[in-house]
Amino acid sequence: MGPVGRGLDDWKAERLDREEFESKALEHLDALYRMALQLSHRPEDASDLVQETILKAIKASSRFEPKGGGIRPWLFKILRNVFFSRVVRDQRNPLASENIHFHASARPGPDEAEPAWNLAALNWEHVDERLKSAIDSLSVEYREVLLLWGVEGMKYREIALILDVPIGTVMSRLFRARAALVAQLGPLAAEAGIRLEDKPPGAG
Amino acid sequence: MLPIDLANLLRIAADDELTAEQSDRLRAHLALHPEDEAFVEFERRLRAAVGRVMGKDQAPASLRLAVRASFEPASQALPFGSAAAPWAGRRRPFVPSGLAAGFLLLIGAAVVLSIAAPRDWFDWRRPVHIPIGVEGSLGFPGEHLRCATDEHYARSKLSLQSLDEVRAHLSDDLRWNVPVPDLSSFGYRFLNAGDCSVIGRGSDLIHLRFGSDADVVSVWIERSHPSDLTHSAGLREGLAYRVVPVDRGMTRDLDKAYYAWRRGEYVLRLVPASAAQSREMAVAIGMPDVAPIDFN
Repeated sequence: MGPVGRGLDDWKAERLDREEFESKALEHLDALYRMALQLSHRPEDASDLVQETILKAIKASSRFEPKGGGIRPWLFKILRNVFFSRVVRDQRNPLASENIHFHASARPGPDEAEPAWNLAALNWEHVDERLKSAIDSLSVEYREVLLLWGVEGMKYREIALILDVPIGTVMSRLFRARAALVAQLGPLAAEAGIRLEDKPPGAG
Repeated sequence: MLPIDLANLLRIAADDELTAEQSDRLRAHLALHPEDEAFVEFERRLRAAVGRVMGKDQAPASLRLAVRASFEPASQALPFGSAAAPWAGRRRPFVPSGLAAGFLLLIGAAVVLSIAAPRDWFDWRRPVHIPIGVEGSLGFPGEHLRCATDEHYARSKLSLQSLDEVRAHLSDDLRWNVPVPDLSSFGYRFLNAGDCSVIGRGSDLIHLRFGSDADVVSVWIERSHPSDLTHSAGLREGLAYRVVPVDRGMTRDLDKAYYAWRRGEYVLRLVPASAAQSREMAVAIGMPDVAPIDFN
């Protein structure tokens, strides 16, 4: 029997019963909310997205495949599907589109790596504000990959599974996003009196 | 400027995602240019900083309540009409209300007794099991091993260099009651080459080891982090929780059961050894009573 045809009994047989589902969904609620916030940029929209995600997860429970990395990536995938479905829906309905803040074309990041190694001496206690501003300036496809990498501690393959893209795409987005962050932290380092060298590492 | 392919190789190294071929290439490069390890270290710190900055947001209480309500089959509270859970129609077994009340009273009495009765911390009874995911907070693959094997790298990481500095951190940051000289009686070693980061210096972790190699008690102290188990599980202050590891990429020596508890903004973990030595250390560092639950 294919996954679509499986019911609650099969689901339970894979040891994710109702109580466990509820427990795990609540356990990942903060993570889902953070992702929803990165996607929507508005707390009220983020809460709405998470609620709909949970409800869709409940309804789709019979199709849940624990082999795909557990419930966390599955919930993230549903959340993204809900969000992008709304984007498509609201693009068809311009009157509603003002409720969705999909920053699809913000700055992606520089093409070349910044001389980040010189920032190793940066006082990390004081970069948060600048870093937050830098993250907010990125487009959503970079913010979401940063979130999954930096906050959720996911591996490339786990991120690729959620975003439904090849691992190479994940790495490319991640590296460009990091380079963009470093580019914006550079001035902070300069303000702090940290010397930025322009020679490549290993150049002697 | 740093060539992109080299920068990306260093980033992959920082993420502990190198393939065997990439490892060989990196090793060859670092043999010639050991200074590039600073780039790797920077990227690791950047990841931690991104996690700190982006991880601050938490689901509001109203959302938590709404989600809990959505688990109730009869809930009408949510805006989405098709909220019925697949288990909504499941029949519940009939239990006479008097019997149920008696059963609940019995459970309550057992809980009270388990809290009030003196117990051996290292008896490890497990009356309740709470599953949570902790892989996000416990995985630091490779870093400590690298500190242990790479002197140059270890030197770049360690910032507490004297017993006085350790004493200052313990008293100022952690408000430990135990005087550091007393710790020496445990065969105290601080910040050996396996320990990379230090509280209060822009990093998040300190690791203290006590006892002999054959009977070592480890204490890990970290700043609490949104992805840490103390957030996801909601550990209460004043209680220690036994954590049962699962096979999800845990490293350090947290591959066996340990205790975790909160103290202010810090999370402390004690990895026990022999009962006597572990108890002595637990008393010395003020480990609270163990909660009558455990989790992994």
